[in-house]
Amino acid sequence: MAALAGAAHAIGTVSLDVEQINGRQFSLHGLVFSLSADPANPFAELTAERLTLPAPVNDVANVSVRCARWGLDAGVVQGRQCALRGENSLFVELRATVELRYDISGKALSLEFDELPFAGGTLAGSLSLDDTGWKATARGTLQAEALRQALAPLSPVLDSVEGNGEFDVDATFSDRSVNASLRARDIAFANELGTAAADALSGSLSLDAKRSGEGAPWQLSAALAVTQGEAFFEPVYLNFFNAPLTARVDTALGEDWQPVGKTTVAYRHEDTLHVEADIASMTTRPYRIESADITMQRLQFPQGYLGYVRGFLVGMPLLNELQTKGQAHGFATIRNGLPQQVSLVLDNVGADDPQAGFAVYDVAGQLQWRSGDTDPETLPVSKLRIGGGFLANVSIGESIARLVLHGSGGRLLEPLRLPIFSGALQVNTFSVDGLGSDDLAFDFEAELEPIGLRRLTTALGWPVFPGQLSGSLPLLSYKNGQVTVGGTLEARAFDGAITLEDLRIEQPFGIVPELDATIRMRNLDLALLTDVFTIGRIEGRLDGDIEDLKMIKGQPVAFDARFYTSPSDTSRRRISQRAVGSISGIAGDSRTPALSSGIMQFFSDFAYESLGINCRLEADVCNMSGIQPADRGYYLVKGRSLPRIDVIGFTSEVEWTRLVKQVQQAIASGQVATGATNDTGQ
Amino acid sequence: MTKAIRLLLISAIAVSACVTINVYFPEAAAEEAADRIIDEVRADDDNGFSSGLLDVTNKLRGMMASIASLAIAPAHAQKANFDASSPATRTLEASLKKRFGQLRPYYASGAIGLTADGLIDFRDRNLIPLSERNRVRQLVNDQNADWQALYAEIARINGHPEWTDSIRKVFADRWIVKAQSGWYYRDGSGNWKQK
Repeated sequence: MAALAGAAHAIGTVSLDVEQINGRQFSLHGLVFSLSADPANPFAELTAERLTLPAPVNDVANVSVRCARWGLDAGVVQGRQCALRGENSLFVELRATVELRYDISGKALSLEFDELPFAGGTLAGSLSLDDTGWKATARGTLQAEALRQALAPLSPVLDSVEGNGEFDVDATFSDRSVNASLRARDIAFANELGTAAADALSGSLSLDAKRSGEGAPWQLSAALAVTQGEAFFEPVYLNFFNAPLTARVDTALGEDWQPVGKTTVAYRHEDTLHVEADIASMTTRPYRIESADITMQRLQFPQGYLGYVRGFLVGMPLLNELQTKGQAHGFATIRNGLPQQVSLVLDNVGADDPQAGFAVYDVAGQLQWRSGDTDPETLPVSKLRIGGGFLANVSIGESIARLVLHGSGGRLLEPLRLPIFSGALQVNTFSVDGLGSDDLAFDFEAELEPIGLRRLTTALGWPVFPGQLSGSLPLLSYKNGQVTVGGTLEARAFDGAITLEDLRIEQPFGIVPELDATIRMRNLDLALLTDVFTIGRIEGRLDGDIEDLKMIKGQPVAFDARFYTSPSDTSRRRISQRAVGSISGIAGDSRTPALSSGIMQFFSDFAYESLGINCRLEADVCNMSGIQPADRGYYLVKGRSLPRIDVIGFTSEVEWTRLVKQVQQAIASGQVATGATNDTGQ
Repeated sequence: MTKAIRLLLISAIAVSACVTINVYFPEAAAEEAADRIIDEVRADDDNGFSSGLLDVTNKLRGMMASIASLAIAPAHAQKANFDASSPATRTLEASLKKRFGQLRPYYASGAIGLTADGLIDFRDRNLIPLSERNRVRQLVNDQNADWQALYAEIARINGHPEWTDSIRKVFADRWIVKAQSGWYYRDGSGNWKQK
């Protein structure tokens, strides 16, 4: 083990040069051992060009240990008040006072230290080296940032963070075991990007690791407790104030600290999230779980949503500011690096986004998902009971959904009935694919059981309509950011029929949804219609065609619209004074109506032959016309019998936004506004 | 008519029928529109307001006429109107304005900054309290989506969807000109600079 290079003698001093000493876990190069028995200046000094120790200490250069007091007894050299010096990347400059003991025959070296400067603090402890291995103990208080700097060469992760705070360390190391306890106070750290950071963390970490021999895997148990502070690992935010965290990991680490064998994780974040995982196979470079069974005993909302879910939803415009409640539990399995199955049991879960007018309440049941490779015939059935909710501020009653979920999609197994006021939307079929991707697509087919329009329109903030809305929604598909309808949407309202043809919506979930459609109305009861808008009573039937309608973000920007007396109408046709005034107002009459004076004022309503209005909207200009041309204008209302009243419009172009205001004013007041129409009594 | 003369005539007609219309992006008008929209979005922001307006008044006004590149036939200038609005632009501007108020502290702290492509981005997340980081991620994401949509919509209502990138560039430049002192912006080389 040792090669004797030579010896020198001086008065009272013995010097021994040794080229190299090799132990199992250490080696010394360029060793010089000097002893002085001079009573005036006794010393023992050991110098070495290089001491090589196991990681993380590694090489210590220019080592010297000079003991002011020493003694040799029974083959054991003992040194007291020894000054230790050395240069090492971990300790930067190694400088401490140590007590030294060297058993010459046993080739065992041990030293104890009280104040070894390290990582912004000092350590007290010991180090012993012999043929069987090494052992060290250390305890003290260290500064987190200094410790990070000291350990940075060992890991690129540590190289990219900054931190502060302090640790109490109490550890025992050997080549076969590690037992360490760290108590952390007020720890803060952050990486350069700010995607991993913590603030004001306090807690403890205990590590217990051992191995059967050199080259054997380390059996590691780690227990973490965080009692205060907060942390952010994008996109997860962890709040430990009043919600302490405990976590335990048991694993085996082989070469390069890669996990070998089974790893178990138990994670408990107060009442927010409890998870246990049995990981059969994983890698850490890159991080990937190959095979695992994960059980989530508890996910409590809203804190669970705010901490663990919300960050994943950034970029989903419909889920910005959800207020959540309830709790969930479930399990998941991972095989071959991919999720294989997920089961999630929801208990009284609610989600509410007041800004979006969306809410679901009292959702309970089990969602079961399988990977896309699963045989469709063996898919488990998911069942949800939804206590109620709101969509676009429209109240939806209790419903039960049975569905299957697999791969990136799913489908309803049986019709889903969503009660809406006195009626319902019955979804007969619904299937979705491409969930979570840019290729989202779904198909949907439904029927409307008669829904009371009065409550529906009130909920939507529209003028209150009487009557009922019913009809069918033929196959509606969403694909490539576009909704299309495979047929005609039909509804009944105002005792007539309303159809939507060629409906297409671009980017329905985008910021600027764009809708194209043609709407046809047949045989609407004007008495019911005018009751709604309080513009004055009109009796008769009305047809309408709004062709080439284009709406952007709910606002019409183009259409070619015609509204006219139903050709087949044989009912009584009467128009009230107020309605005449309102139509004049919509078309923009600035003059006092002739109706309010003379003989006409004694008639409350008038018979008419036909009425109608056309508007072709383009570039915010409505090109207006009526049911037929009139002298310098067009007929909006063509009277019949005596006293006869005709309403004639003269304005052919109206700014659309202004016209909308006029309509709103007319609806609100039933009064005449401004413009260029004329009503004439004959 | 001889065959040669007929050929000559056909060629003359064919040549005279070749009309090349080059419609140039009207940058000055776009800058004015950008200034108006930026001022509207940050309407309650007094500081840094005047510098932008001063610049605008010195800009060339009016539209650049389109030029027929081969001068064979007269070109037709297509008038752009960057002050035109649509339901979409109005909604987007209102949305941007509302969100700007929430983003302002993060501009001021240097956590976020303006980018050379007319959007915003994180400059230093570590200047944002941990509990706010996901919320600011959402704000930045949504604000950028609205800006993207607005640039595309302005181009669309002017009948030139291909102008989207040019409009974006104009807005990027004007944002930087009008940025408040102390705000950060990222130049085309990817370097952050402080106004």
